[in-house]
Amino acid sequence: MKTAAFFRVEGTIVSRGVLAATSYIAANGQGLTERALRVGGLAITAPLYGVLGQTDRTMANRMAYLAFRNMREDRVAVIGREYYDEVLKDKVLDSGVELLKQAKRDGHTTVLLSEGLDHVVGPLAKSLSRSVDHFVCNRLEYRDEFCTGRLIEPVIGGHETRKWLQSFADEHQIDLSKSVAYAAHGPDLLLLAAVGSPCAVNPDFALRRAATEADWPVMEYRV
Amino acid sequence: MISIQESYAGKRVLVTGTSGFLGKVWLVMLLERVPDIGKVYVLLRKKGLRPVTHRFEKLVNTSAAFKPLHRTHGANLSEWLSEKVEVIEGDIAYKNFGMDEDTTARLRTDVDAVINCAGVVDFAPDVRLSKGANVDGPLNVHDFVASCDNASFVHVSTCYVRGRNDGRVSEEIEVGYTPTGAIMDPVEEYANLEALIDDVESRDGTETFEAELEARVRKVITDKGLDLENERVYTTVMRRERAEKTKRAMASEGTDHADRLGWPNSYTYTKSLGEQLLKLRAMESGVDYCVVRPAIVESAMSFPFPGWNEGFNTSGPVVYLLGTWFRNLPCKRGNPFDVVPVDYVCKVIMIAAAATMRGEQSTVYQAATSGRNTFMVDRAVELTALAHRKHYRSRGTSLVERAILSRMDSIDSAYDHTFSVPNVRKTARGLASIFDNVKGPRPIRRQARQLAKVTRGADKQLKGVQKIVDVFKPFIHDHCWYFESENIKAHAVEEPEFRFEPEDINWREYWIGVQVPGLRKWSFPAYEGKSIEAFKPTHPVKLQSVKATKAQPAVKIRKAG
Repeated sequence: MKTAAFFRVEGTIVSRGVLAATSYIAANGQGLTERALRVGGLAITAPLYGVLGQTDRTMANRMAYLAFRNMREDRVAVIGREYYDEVLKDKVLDSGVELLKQAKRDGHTTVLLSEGLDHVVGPLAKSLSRSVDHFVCNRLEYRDEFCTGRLIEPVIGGHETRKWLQSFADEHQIDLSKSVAYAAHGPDLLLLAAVGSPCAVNPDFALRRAATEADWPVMEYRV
Repeated sequence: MISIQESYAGKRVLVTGTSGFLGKVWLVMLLERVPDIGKVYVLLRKKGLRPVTHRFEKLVNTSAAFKPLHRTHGANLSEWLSEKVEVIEGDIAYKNFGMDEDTTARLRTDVDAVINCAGVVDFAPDVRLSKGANVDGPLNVHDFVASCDNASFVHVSTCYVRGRNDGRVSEEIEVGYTPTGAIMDPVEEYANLEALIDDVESRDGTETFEAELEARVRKVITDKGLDLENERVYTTVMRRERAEKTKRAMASEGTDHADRLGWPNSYTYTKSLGEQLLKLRAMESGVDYCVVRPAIVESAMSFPFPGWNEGFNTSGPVVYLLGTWFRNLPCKRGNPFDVVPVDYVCKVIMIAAAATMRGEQSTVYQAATSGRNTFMVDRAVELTALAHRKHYRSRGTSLVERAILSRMDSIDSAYDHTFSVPNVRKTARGLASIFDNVKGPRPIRRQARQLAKVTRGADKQLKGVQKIVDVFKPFIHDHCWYFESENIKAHAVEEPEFRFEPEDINWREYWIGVQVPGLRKWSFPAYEGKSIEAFKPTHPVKLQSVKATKAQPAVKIRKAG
């Protein structure tokens, strides 16, 4: 059996969350009217995202990505890549990358888990490809070149991550009890609880409290 | 299974139109990828006093399309080309291309295949020119091939011979076809075209013509601030304007005639007429021939190098417009935009010629993408905007480009959209008229006149924009064509580099990474009156020993059939 190191990208590898990328892409829709409508829609769902973010992250992500409904795949891909190049690349946390490299050196199978889109986080995973064995992120559903606004299962970031984790471990013969996981948000508790060596990284309020109660190590390196 | 290498090995091929975008790339592809070719006869028209070999050398030494040959052969290119290429002076508008008898006789026994890439591709040219190249041209090539010992013939036409007739376009030549559905006798139509040309030419010298010309000459001289009484000036302007007036009449009469029969311009009309007459003539002669119909030929995917483009007749002007303040392009969402990289078209010509030399050809091969990997016009507009955005954000030369133009998106819109060119022009003219009529103190009137001048200037610029939009409108707004490209599948090709597989085109990567950057580098400078990056090979080519074969005083063929 192998061991793995799971990294939730948002909070451990990069300091920016999903909503920033979603807003950026929505704000660069085709034409001013479309931009206004998409950003307006996102502004309405943002408070709900904040609330659901701690309870039902899957639902929160589904709502956030509704902003891309009827957007052409080309645009999501190009603007997503632009967001990576112009924003996200500068938000990579060096300590997180170092942690990833160390995990690889320690012989773990390294896995990046991201709530972000393949167009946005894909280039990041590619740039870290020497230290990353598997990369899993959210993917939008497209029909006839246009986004339906729905996410393809499994939706990363919520409670479903746990189910996905188990099937991934079975498929790759990974012993979860000897594996490690790094995450930063409350909804990642199930992910952390599923492995033998969980670690809270730059935790938010909910995760910090849970980590303290469960006596899990806490790391802080946010810049 | 066809092997391109084996099909062309030792063969002698005559090629026309090598000074054009497509012909040039095809010639380079042949020489670069089929080094065992026996001989290539390059037919070129003479320009100026220098021999055509100089013209060919200039092409090889200044066009970046020849880069692969320079890279492969380096200092030996002159020697290699001198052995492989013979430059012949001639013009397909004339019988036997205007070549002297010795050359004609020699080529008749030598040539295995003729590839006719020559043509007038302007949408609204002087109809005499388009008739010469697009109608007389293929017929003269046919007649030459028919007189050869054992030659076959590939003629390059266009998918848009279909004209204003929407739907799926099959690969066949229908004799008598017009887009309106009316039956046309091609031979009779050829006579009609000649009659039209004669009619326009005969107007020169009539009272009305002379009166209009006189008025025009006076206006030109006055507008330029020259002396009307100066006889030399008057004669020069008169001579130029006389020729221009006839040319304009030829262009507009040609376009109107094509329009009456259902073709959007005289280019597609003359190409269709040329195809139909060619088919009739080949039926009589039994010549082995085929027609390759490209759709809109665009920047190279990979050969001679990614992005290579030249000239004005691709989608370049529209792509250029969408990078300016012009944003609402009239086009119909969901209509195919059939563009095909130039090297893909060259592969089709390669295969078609190989098949024709083996006697296995179909009559028509459409080098198109809409039937196999459809690219929609609205997608093209969006990708163009994204490509401009990428460029302006990273390499914009001013704050306006980086901050504003990069964020402005092109939108596919209806022709009568609020911000359509005609509507904006109407507003501009209205504003100019208001400014002209402003009353009040002198400083205010002066300011108003100044504003009127600026507004009229904008209107003038928009007139140019409207011209471009109107030329492209039939192809991006009015019609929906799906061009089949199935016949080429009958010929399985051994060498992967010659296979025509449009399904492999990733339109996003091609449009943003190849097509628009290619246009930006090789075409946009020409639109802006700037010079294009010069190509200077380390070892310029100088053809050795071979003298270009001279043309005889040409006899123009006036009658078809």
